Amino acid sequence: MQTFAALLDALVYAPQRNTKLALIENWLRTTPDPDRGWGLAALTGQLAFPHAKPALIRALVGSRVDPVLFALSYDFVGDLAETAALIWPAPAAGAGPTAPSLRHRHAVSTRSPHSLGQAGGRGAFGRCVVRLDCPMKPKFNPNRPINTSRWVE
Amino acid sequence: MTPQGLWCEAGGFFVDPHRAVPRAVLTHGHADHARPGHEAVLATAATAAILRARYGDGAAGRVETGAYGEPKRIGDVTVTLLPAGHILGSAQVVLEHAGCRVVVSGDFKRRADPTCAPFEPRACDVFVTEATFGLPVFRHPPAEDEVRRLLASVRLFPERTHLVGVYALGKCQRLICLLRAAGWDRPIWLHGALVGLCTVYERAGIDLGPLRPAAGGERRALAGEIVLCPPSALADRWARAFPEPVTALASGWMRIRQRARQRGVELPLVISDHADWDELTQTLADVGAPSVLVTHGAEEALVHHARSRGHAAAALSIAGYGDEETG
Repeated sequence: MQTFAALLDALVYAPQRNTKLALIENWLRTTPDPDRGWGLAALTGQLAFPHAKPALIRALVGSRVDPVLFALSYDFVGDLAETAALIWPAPAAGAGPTAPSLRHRHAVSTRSPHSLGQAGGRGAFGRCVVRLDCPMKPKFNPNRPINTSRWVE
Repeated sequence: MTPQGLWCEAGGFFVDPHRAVPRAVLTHGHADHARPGHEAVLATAATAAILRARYGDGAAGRVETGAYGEPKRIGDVTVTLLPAGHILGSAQVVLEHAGCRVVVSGDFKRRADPTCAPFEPRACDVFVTEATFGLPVFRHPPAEDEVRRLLASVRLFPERTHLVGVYALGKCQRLICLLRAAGWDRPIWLHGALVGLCTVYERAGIDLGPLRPAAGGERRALAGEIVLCPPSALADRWARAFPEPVTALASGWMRIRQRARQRGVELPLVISDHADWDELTQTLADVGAPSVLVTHGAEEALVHHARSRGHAAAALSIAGYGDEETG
């Protein structure tokens, strides 16, 4: 889902509808399944994240980062989720650069929230939250019509 | 510390003063560190060439050039310049007096840069460090990956011009070298404000490949090309002549989403000539200085970190650095 994270960033910065459409089209063309399906589900609002509340994010990052450095960083960045994503510690050497695939979500979801993301790299945070939630809320129905318009306004 | 800047009493000189002084040692050629009008200056030969290109022959009264690693005597102090890895000619200033060694880092980075000599850590008693990106949210990704994103965007939008904001000194030439290393061998088009300093780099033996001025009616025909300009020109009338420009900006500040959005940047490239958090903290460990002084940037976080690692640390609030946006 690294490329999906990059796509979301690009969509945030792109001002024009045609640019957004070209970016989404390119991503759908070049991304293998099952990531493509998960990305499509996320883009069309089919995934729910009831557990990813600010308090949880704060607790997860608070158990990993010096509180003074976190406070100074949050002050500078101004957004809790962005601060957490940027300050998330790098994996220990040898832990491997990629987070486990979404295929493994059932195994991962049985771990406590505080152990999530220990093996992942920076940016793994968002993916962990997705994993935490998905098995409990299988809302994504591939047969349901989707509405992409809110992403390309 | 004095109002003019960092003063060395035993040698009777300033390091990177921001007012004209009788005697100055300059770390590098960015305008917030190298001001014109000093009576006598010690700097590397490359920094001296940059000063001449920026301020003309009247840049300073007398310019003495020092090679990296060559000790010079000023007053009672032995002064040695060491590579800082920031831009062409950038130096750390090593001051030795009465058995005590102080290293002033100037601006520095630890990553490979084809346009300048790599940072050389030197063990010392007092380390005076910058902290432009002195917060743990600043971790620069590999510059090569950022250049790959730029080239991927050029391939995806061949009908548009990619207009990349770069600081005229250092970032511009480094980005050109990174593009060449990534296989971009087409001409790179330059805003007029970048041409002079590229010439300085070429004279120093750094091959930048084919460069062309982006001016006049020709700009309309630059679809699919890469054009470099100073960040201020991105929002300028000059930029509007290009076909549907994709505005990019190469800076460490692009790590923060709000910063990128404020600038109206469509393709933020996190490429910095300053040390990121990991490089700053690694450097403190490498030089092993009992005392650390932090000059400019996010001093508070780096001072906190240094104290937690057992250094005596304090912030030197030097006004005036960071005025030229060189992130």
